[in-house]
Amino acid sequence: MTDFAQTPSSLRERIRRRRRMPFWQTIVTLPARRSVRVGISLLVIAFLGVFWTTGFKYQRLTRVEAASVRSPKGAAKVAPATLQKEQRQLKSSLGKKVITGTYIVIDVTNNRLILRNRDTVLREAKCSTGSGIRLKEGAGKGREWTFDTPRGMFHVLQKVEDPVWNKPDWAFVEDQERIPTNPKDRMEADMMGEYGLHLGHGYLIHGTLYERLLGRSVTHGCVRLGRDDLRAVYAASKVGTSVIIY
Amino acid sequence: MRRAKSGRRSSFIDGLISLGLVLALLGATKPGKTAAKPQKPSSATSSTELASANAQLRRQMDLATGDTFYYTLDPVKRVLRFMYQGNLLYERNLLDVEVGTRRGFLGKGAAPKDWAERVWSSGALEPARVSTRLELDASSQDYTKQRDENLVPPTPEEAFPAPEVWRIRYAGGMSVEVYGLADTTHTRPGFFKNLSQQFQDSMKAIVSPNSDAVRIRLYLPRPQADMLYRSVPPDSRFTILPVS
Repeated sequence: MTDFAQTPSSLRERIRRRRRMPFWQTIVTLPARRSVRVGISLLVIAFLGVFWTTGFKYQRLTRVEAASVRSPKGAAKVAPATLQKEQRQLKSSLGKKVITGTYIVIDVTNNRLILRNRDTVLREAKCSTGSGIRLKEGAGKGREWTFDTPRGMFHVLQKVEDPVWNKPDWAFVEDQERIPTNPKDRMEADMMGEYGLHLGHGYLIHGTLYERLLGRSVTHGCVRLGRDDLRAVYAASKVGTSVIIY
Repeated sequence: MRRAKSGRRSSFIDGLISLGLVLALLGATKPGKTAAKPQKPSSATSSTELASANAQLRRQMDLATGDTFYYTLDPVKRVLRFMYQGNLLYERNLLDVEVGTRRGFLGKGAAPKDWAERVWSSGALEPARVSTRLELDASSQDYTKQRDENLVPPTPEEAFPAPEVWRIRYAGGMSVEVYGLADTTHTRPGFFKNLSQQFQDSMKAIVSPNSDAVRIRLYLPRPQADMLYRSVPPDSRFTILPVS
């Protein structure tokens, strides 16, 4: 047992002070102890070390990939003339893929139509595309239709003024009407606006009576446009114009 | 005398610890400054450069021949292009572009060396856009009520609200991360946001062995990022255009 009287006076004073301290103050002054401080610091360093070695190293992507691109194997053995010829062929093939002239791009989720000519946007418009609803005929008949706008590359197959809607079976099922036997009873004028651009398989770009619904997915698969936009798109396109839908 | 020596040693150790802490903290939160040194342009068109350019052209040709939608990133012009069969569908000007390569603890999960030369494929949106297809049975009793309730569907913004940060994950641990910034005066997240992101990355890297190896970060104004989120098609592909 150590003799309290023999301990140095400064230490005696510290011990006395600590004994007088309330418990909460002892806790607060705990990090002041060197061993605790070292321990906490080592823990933080270890934590940051793991943090540092397992995360991501971010850098600006400007010339990084240039540094990372390595020469293809055996490149040095091929004569530059051969490689230049190959490059010309590749550029030519790539150029042939690009649509020349005006084309139409349709974003079915955002309900936007863009009229483009290569890098130039000629017109951007709100449109309406397929609602995505699945309609079942029911009552044991088993037929069903899904109202999606198809995606991919299409072409304008036919341009028509004042299109008349040849109502398919689903239009009658949807309205809970009897399906007519006379084809004339299927025809309905003034429903599709001033113009129609046929894309094949019954899908068209056409006008609408419900312009307030433009920008929403409400159609049975066709693409609806407002009157002014339809006029512009109709004027700019011809039979064969490419339509890319995504 | 001894006490004075001990005091000096103590403050020396404290100093070392503080220095270590500061260095570790700086290292862990260091923003992207360590860009690779630019290559010096060669005056002569060498076989190597031609072969490299041809390889890139072949990749573009491969993308243009396929039937999938794809993105091309021009890191120098900071432009992201959405393409189909060699045709531009839209382009977005980016506020900033960064690349994050995984440090790979003990070489595990490190980024493949040819990540910039690959065509990234099988892109999947995360978080995915969830769309519930409405089914109507024309013979059911509540058909008319159901149909009338859905006469005015929600707008795209209401139907598919976009998160602030989202990703397209490609096969092989590649991913494109998009940040939609409401305030375009700052093109990068702040210090604490960056720290929190790095912490999450580290935890994911430790917990999940299949986390990203390479991550391209794109910063866009929020409305454009949101629109981009809604338009990402399934199974998209991605390539980085070479710096020329």
